[in-house]
Parts: sequence; structure tokens; C-alpha cells
Amino acid sequence: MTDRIDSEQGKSESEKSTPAVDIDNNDDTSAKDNSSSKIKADKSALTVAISNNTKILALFAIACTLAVSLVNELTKDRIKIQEQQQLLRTLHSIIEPSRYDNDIANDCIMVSAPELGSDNVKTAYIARKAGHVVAVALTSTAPRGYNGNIDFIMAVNIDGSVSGVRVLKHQETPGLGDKIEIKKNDWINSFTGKKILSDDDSRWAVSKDNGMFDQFTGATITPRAVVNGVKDTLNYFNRNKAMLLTRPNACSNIATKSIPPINEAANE
Amino acid sequence: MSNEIAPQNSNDTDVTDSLDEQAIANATAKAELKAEYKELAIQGLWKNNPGLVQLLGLCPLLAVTSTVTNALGLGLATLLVLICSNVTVSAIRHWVPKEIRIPIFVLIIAAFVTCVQLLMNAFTYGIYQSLGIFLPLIVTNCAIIGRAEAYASKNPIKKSAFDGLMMGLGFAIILLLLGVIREILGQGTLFDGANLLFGEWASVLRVEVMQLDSQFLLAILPPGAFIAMGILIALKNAIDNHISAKKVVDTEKVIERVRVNFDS
Repeated sequence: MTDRIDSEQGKSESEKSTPAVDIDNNDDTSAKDNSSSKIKADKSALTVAISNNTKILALFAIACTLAVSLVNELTKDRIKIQEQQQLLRTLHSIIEPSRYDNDIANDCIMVSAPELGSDNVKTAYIARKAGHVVAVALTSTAPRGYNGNIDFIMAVNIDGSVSGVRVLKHQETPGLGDKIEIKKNDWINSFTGKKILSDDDSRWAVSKDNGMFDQFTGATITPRAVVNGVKDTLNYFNRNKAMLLTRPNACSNIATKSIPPINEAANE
Repeated sequence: MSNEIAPQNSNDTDVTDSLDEQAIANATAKAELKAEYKELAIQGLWKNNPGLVQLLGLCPLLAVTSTVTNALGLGLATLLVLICSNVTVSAIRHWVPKEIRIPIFVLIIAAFVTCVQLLMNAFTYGIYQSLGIFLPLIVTNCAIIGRAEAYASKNPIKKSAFDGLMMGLGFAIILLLLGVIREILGQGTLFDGANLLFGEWASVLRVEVMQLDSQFLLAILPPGAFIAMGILIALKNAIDNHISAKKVVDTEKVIERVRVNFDS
């Protein structure tokens, strides 16, 4: 079986590999009136080869696509679960799980405001206990980091105090600015329990700017950006609390596909 | 190899002779096969190492080796893709016209990488996150298409699988070495975040090698990877030079002895 295919393969390969040379040779050896028909025959052989190759290529493309879609089908649910778990882990770290009793991952609203750092649509997750809102976890962005935007998620209690902040994504300098990650340093916990007293509360700054938050040795710009980002988000929440909490749920089980995954990622 | 054995058997007339010869031929064939596998292993792990000698796939090699865990994750993913692609390319080598072999190889490799990416997303979510773009970029790792083109498309499945294993191991070992060097120098730890790759039990693997007051930035940043890589290559070349120098000395000694004998 294989031998036969081998020999066929060998023949067709040798034919295919030198089509141009064949045409030239025919031109030289055969009579001129005959050559045009020969070229035609060669051309048709070439077309056959091309169409054969196309078919083989198409077959491989279909087979590969099938394999990938099969694996995708098998892993789809698990990936979904993993993303949900990751989201829940992040949310649990900023809102005590005992403080709410709703399915927080599927109770969210979409927010878009310039105060949140960028024009992207942000997701806010709402924690309720017995139907009453206890806290809101807002995803937000701190612009003006040392090396681009810093994405974070912060939970605000209904009384306006900070429940917790976690950095989701950043490109700050490893070893200096990356202390905003909880893995590297617990600086980010210094926001917990803090309240904002007025719109331009001067305590909400790094200590170099006479504020109440420490900066890091060798890195002031990163904490400054985070402090300002948290402050802006908090101000936005306080001002728009009533409006935000009356919005309809955008993450009910029917619309789960639209949830953007939230990952507590390290810097790359 | 089977071609070499076949004519010998047909020429033999005596039954016992042919049996003996066959046994000898089988033994030599086995020895040859063994030698070939050994050669494949040496090529993949040392002489023709994709990381140190071919310098293929440098982009992920340098980018993700800031910790051992990341290095191990990418090393295993590349190893898996390399073995699978080598086996598949070898299995279909008779059915693929050589004009369109490259697009087909790329298709196969891309399909395997996507599968591995999906699997890692599903089962090792943390490492999937920290490898980021470099996981899908395995498709463009020249080491893989290089092996498919240079070896797997011309050799039987078993050998191709072994070649893939050895080349992948060679690549993974270099990744690991770089990861170890950079993580110890940069953070003073080993296997930091191993739980991302192997599950929760692996957090006990984390070793605090030395306490650093501040991280050694150069080792964590990409230039550190270049420097460490350069040192590894230099080390490899130094060992090679040492070995060849030793060989030369040995042969010279033999020659001297012969001369002494001749004089006396």
C-alpha cells in the first residue's frame, strides 16, 4: 500500500518539480507547430498538480481546524470555570466573602466614565447581603503610571470607605514599581478602610506630596499614579452612587458571555 | 537499515549460515539503531542544542526565563508541541507533496500550539496568564519548523519522536538553566509560583536561596537574560574546546610513544 503510494508520489513529484524545464525541452525538440499543443498538455498537467495540491492543503486545513475545535469544545467549560474562579478569588480578596450572599460574579453593571482612567467600558460587581448593597467592586485604570496604564480593581463599601484594592495589570519596573502587586508588597492594603473627606482631600497623596500614603524607595511615580487613580475612582463612586446602584444587572446568566475576564496578572 | 539486511539473506544458501548471519545482521542493526538514537540524543542535548548552538527561538527563551516556573512552563509546552509536530509530520511525510510541505507543517504546528494553549488555559491557568503572548508565539519558534523540515519529514515516526524529545529537552534545559540563574540572582528564590504550574501542593517547592535586601534588577530585566545566555554559550564553547584539546594531547602522546619505540 505504502509502496504504491511512494512510487506514485515519486513520479508525480519529479513531474511537478520540473514543469518549466519540461516546457523548454519540448520547445527545443519538437516541431514548432507541435509545440503549442505540447505546452497546452503540460499546462493542463500543471493545473492538475496545482488543483491536487490545493485539495491536499484544504484537507489538512480542515483536519487541523477540526482538531482545534474539538480541543476547544472539550476545554471550553473548564476555561470558563477557571476564569470565574480567578474573578471570585480576586473579588474575595477585596470583599470579605462573609459580607455578601449573592452570586457576585453574575451581578454586575457596565460603567464608562473618564474619571475611571480610560474610555474602555469597565465592569463593576455588586455585593449584596439579603438584597441590600454592601459594597461595589469597580474595575478602573490609573493613567500616568511610570510605564503606561495601571489597571486595578477596588471595592468600595456603601458608606464610601475603601474595602480593598488590587492591581490587575501593569508594566511598572520589576523590583521597584512592582511593589504595588500584593505578591511583592502589602503596600496596596494601606488603602483599606480609608475614606475621602472632600473632593480634593489633600491627604490622598504620597507622603512626598504631604499625603498619607508611603512611596517606595526609588519609585514615586508608580504609587502616585495608583493613589490618584484610586482617589478618582472613589470620587466617581461617591458622586454617582445613586445612579450606579439603580442600573440593571448586565451579567445575569443569560448574558455571561459578555463578562470580560479579570485576571490578577503579574507584570510582563 | 532493512535494505542492507535483505540482500545478505537472499545470497545465503546454507540455512544455519543464513541464521547466524541473520543474527549477526540483527545485532549490528540493533547496535546501529542504538548508536543512531545515541547520536540523536547527543545532537539534541549538546552538539546541536536549539538554545545554545542553533540559537533558535531566542525571543521566548529570553523573555520568559525570569523565573524557573515560567521557564519550565514554556519548556514543557515547547517540548510537547515539538514531539507532536515531529510525529505528525513524520506520519504524513508520504502524502505531502514537497511544494506545499511548508504551509502544511505550519498548519500542523499552529494547530498543536493552539491545542496546547487551550489545554494550559484550562488546566494551568496561572502559568497561562504569566506566559502571556509567548505561548501562542511557540508557532513562530524556528526550532520546531526546523526539526519538522530537517528531520521529521525524512525519517520514520519513532526516530522523529525521539528527535523531538531530545531537541525539546535540550531547549527546556537551557530555559531552566537561564530561569535558575535569573531567579536566584534577581529574587533570591527558586520555584517561586510553582503552584501556578503544578497546583496548590507545589507551593512547598519554593526555596529561599538567599535573602536579598533589594532585587538585582539587571537579572530580572531582558538584558540580564542576554548576558546570562552569553555566559552559557561561552561556557559550552569552553567545554568543547577543552575536550578537543584533550583529544589532541592524547593522540600526540600515542605518536610520541611510537617514536620512542622506534628509536630504541
